Amino acid sequence: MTRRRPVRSALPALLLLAGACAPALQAQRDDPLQGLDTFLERVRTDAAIPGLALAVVRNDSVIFARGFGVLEQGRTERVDAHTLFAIGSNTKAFTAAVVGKLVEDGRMHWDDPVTQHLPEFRLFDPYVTRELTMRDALSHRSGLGRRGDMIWYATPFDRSEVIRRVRYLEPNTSFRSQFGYQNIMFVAAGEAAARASGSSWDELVATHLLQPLGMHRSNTSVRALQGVANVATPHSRRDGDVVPIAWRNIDNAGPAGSINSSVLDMAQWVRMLLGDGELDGRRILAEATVREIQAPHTIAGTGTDSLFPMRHFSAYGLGLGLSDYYGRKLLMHSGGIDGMLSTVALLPEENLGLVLLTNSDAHSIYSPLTYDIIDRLIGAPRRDLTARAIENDVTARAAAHKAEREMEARRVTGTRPSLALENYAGTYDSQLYGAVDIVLENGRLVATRFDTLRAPLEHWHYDTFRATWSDAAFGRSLITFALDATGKVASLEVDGLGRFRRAPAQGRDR
Amino acid sequence: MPRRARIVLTMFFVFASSASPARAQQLGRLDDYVTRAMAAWEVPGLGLAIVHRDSIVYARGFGVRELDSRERVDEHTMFAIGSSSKAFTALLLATLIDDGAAKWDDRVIEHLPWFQVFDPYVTREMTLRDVLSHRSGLSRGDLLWYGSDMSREDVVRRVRWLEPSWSFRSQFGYQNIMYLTAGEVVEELSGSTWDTLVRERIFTPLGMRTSSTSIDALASMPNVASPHARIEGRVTPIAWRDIDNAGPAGSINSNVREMAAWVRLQLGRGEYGGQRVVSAANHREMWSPHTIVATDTASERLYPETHFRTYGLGWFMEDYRGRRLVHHGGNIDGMSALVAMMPEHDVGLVILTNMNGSGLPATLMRRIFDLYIDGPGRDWSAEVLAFTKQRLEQAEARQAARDSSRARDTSPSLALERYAGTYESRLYGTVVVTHEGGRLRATYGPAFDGALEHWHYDTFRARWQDPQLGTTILTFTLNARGEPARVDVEGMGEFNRQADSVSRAAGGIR
Repeated sequence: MTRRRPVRSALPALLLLAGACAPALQAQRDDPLQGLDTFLERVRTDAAIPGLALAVVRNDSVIFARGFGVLEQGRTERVDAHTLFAIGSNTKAFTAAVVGKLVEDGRMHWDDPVTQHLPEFRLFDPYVTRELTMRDALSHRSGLGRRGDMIWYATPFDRSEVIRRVRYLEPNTSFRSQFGYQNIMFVAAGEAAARASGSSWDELVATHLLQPLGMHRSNTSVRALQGVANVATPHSRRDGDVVPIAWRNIDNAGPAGSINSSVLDMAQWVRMLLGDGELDGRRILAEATVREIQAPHTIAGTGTDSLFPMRHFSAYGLGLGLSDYYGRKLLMHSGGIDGMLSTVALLPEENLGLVLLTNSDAHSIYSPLTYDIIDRLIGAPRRDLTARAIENDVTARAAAHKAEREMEARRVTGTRPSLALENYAGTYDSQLYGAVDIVLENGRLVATRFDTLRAPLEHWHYDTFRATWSDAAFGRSLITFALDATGKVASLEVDGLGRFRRAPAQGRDR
Repeated sequence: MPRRARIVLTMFFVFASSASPARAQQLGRLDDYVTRAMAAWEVPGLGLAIVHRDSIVYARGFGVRELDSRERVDEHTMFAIGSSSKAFTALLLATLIDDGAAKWDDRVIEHLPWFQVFDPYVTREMTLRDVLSHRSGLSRGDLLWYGSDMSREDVVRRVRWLEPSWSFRSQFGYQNIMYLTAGEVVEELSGSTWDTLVRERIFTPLGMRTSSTSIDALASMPNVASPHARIEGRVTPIAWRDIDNAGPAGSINSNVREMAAWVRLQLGRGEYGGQRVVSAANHREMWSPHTIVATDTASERLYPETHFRTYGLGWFMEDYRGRRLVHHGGNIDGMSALVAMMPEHDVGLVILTNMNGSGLPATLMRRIFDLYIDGPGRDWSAEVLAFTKQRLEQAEARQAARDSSRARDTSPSLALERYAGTYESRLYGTVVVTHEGGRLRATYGPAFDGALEHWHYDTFRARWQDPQLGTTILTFTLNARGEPARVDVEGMGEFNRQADSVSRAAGGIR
């Protein structure tokens, strides 16, 4: 088992479109809900998921809504359709909808440059700063790629500081040349909406969406869960076992993923989207807004996949993944944050939608299970992609364990640091990620970040040390120091985060 | 909560069994359908070939080469394929990439150092993929080459003055000059002309012996269709347009028999008759979506079978009834063509017609592909014709509204001869306005030559001698001295009056 993961892979797994398989077709004429309970309970057990909830909406009715398993491993309270989970990146479509409301009110336009509302907003390239629109920010085509998450993840920076620092993130691909999942652009979109309206993103979501949709148990921050009953506990794999972990506060990335909700509350959102913006005869979003959110904006992959022969196109709308599935448009998004994974899926032509929430991040069945449930509901052949995914998870854990052993084997023995340990102590700074402090404590080097994260350093080889972080989500990382021509330590490099330069004096801004 | 409810199941699709006697019968009945559709759409002549499982299963001509003549179209009759040529240019680049001469993500300036577009960032970032996928942000600029005597290279060199219509890669915008740019890259990489390379690398291996890249080649050929257009309400033969200077964007001429070989190459993923023309990997790139093509609600209502419209490299791609269609039309003066494939059924077709801007080929495509899915489906010809007529009426209404907005009883600010002069645009070159026999006359390049009739105030309408070119509105603006400073030409932009042209033109006339 992977005991600890390196920083890079500890990034919250917000997103994704899908991956699995399917051959021939055959009609199912049974009740599609027949046996669904048994199936879900079996999957939950097989995938070692403590708690799971599912709601299915068809023809504007909730035809299925129930929970399976427990709120927390080792306890007895059951998950039900009212249990609150973190929905992670399924928040993104809410952010797009909030922007849509402001478009409807004439306060902004989809094609407004973000700088029109956040004049201080800067990206690495001046052309991109000038050209990046609200639409771009909501459709993962900034060119920054899936990077920069460590600016916000477990840092003390607030949303505006997160956005300020993204200017130092070098582009990964040329602007709009390809899909690249980007959380901070959603934070920027949310902050732009806040600035344009004079209300916080959290207030906008509550006022324009949660309240009118009757999502009364839902909220936009882990802070709002204090004292609330029936809240799922997040779980992750630690030392081989699925165990309860702490809720992660991601308020500083709120518009990219901080909503908490239940399957019944989320069913309201799904009914509204399937109703082209209307819920119970009340208009929540203009039809044009729903259309905009569901229109393809960015090509996401080639779409072709020998395991998915019924799919030809994959794209991203505004906060929603899009594809064609058996000749129908499928809208789908996943969400993941520490200890929680979820999926929302809609087939508007079938007037069908579902919400799947789980309280574990130690599995990858959220997407295949969603397809399996859809296949049951639409009478497509049953492929049991979930079983395959559970097998793959086992294989992947073994592969990760092997990779770790191989990494250990690449450690060069018999080397020692170039300098005495105290010479490595100091403050190292990155414009992007802030400071790493290296201190000497009782003859050992210790790395600290923001007084919240500590890692004793063990010598690895040459001037490379291995850090074992106090927050298990960060796992272990290798830190390599570089000497300058005078033989002094000039910088350090943390794998996945790049270079931190040694600050000339103490007490620099972090 | 509703745990279990009966829901109506929808059966998505069943792949039609392949070759069947029923299909042979249906193909037989196709003749009638095509004949009736041609009459409805007023298309004088048409060639159609269908390729299924690497064989030509249907190839014949309909109607006449020239209206009021007796010469029948057959499967050897030559037509212009127009923009269906673009896939030839993309394929040539693919073969050069196979050779290792370039990569898809190479920047254009790496191969054409003199290449420049309006915005420096875009000049720097534009890749071979971008020039082949209509995402440059430049709208057409076609009057640089259409009816002009500029060379391909001249046209590409002038594109630096074409101001972007949209932000780079923000949306689909059809761009012929970028295909000319791709042609220049092909010539730079190969050291031969685009025309030679099309012959050597495509026509020859495919046995396309009579196909050509210039209308020059048609002069000596016996079986050539004449182009037709609707002029003052009547379908009339018109002259062939020489578009050699836009070759890589659309100058190929061929017949359905030879184009069937091209379709076989495509369905063979780059292999034809056991011979590999382009690698499967680079063929796949051409069929990978690169740019999203936006749709409007009216066309979404007409085509509910389609959810995604995209452009690859030289090909449009869309989903249709759960299958992928790959296609590209071609329209040049008096000719409408279409090459289309439904790879999952290993079927493709070529439709060549001698009628200007006709929607008929796309309706026949759907009719024929429906036969391969599950037999005759919608009456595409009738439905789309009704839709097209409706759109045409709307366009005519808009034109009528514009005509009626003409202000009455105005006269030009100046005596007519004072508008005479030479007007320059750094993009397009020169428009010459002369005063002859009491009337103003405008000329632009060798093709545009027409009298100016006063419209209102300082606006005139040019009625071009070539009826195919229609009319164009020109508006003169006076400077503070009361002299014409510039003329704004509809669809082209502003041309500034040359300082010395005042005295010269005036002197010449008096």
